[in-house]
Amino acid sequence: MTKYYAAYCIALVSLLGYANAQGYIFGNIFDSQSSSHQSANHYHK
Amino acid sequence: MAGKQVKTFNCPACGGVVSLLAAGHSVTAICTHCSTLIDTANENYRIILKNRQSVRETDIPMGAKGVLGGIKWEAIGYVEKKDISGEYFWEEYLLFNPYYGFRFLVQGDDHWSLARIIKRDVPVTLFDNTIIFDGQQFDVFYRSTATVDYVKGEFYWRIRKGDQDKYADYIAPPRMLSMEMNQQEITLSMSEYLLPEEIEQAFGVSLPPRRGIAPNQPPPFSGVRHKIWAVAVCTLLVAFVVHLGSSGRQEVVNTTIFHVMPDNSSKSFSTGVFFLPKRTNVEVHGSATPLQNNWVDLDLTLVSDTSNNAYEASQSLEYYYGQEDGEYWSEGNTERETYFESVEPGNYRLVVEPAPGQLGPDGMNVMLAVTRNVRAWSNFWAAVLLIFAFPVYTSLYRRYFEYKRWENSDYAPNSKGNDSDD
Repeated sequence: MTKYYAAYCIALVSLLGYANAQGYIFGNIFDSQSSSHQSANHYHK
Repeated sequence: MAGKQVKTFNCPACGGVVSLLAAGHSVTAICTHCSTLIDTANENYRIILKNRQSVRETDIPMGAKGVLGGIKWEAIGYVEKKDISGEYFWEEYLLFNPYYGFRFLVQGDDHWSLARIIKRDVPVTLFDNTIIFDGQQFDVFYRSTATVDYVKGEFYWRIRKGDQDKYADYIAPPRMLSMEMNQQEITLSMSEYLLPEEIEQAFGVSLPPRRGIAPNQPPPFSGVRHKIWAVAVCTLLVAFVVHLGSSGRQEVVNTTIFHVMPDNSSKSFSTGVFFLPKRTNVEVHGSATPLQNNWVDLDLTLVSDTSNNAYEASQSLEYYYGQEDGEYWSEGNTERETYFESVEPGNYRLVVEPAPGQLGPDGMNVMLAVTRNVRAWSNFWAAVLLIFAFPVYTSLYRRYFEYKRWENSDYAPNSKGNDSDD
């Protein structure tokens, strides 16, 4: 069982590193005003 | 092996053929046809007790052979016992192997243990609350008087229905030290918990599911719980280093102040162009002054100057205060943060569309500070939560398990369920 848990931990740490590197913020899920979304660029010339 | 010891004779009561599976060892046998108790110490086959019980079926038939612990055993005797209170019932199968002697397979609430008699002298009494045996502490769990309720098969001692022994069970799961005392002797036995599947596999029988928690049932996550906690702590340290290393360097890339005046309150504003060298998050820290009993909504659009990308968010700044019943109160804040996640690299500017509440003649100043590579501590704390969820669960479940185990005992120590037995 320990090895499965260790694998789970490795996956979690990898996910943490990936999320940070990609600029994701977990806390945004709980803050509707802090959530952004991608949209078409109406300002692009 | 065991088959070489078989001897048959005719029951002196009913004449049926009785097989002695451990001839030379057995001194008592029960006729399988009429349940008469027969003295088999010699070939006179004297009747000890005439049939007063019906023949009962057992989970493991008499004569069944099975391998437990690498040794082939044959079930030759069966005893049903009950506690004098009538609350607890259990069964004991006598197993025999001509080279290894006798063992007991004990079943209670469909939990199974394999027991052997301890032949060496152990200085204990029936009233000890703890026993140290082989360097291991055993705590008392039951202490009562057991009555033989039913017997079947053959035995190497004199046994009959109604026999009584004082007994005490001491546990150090998965082991249990049992002490039985009658007028002649004190008998100590050590039993080890077995899974029903092991019994099923060994004897080729089908057993009902276990009920409740056995006194010596190993607790869940036994032996791995401390390792799981160790892995969790190590992961925490690694996660901290990874979090610091993967977040990059936080940097303010733009600071702009907009003046929102009554005559241009619906006008859009734009910051200067700033560069994001890699995919990152972007924090917009907004503040408004003066903002007294007022609000302003800001529609924020992060616009790429080099691609077709745009990211939209909104930010509401509001601040109210006053006095009521002699007490001051306030609500909201004049500043707050909004985040854009996973913004692609490139040149960007922030376009702001303000929607203020009421504006005075001097308007309102809105200051926006744009920061990239904000360290997202919520990511770290979410990871910590997920890392420790399982170890915490193992500990809580273990505590609950021990609580339920000791519910069945009159001797529950207060400290049970603590971290003592991995």
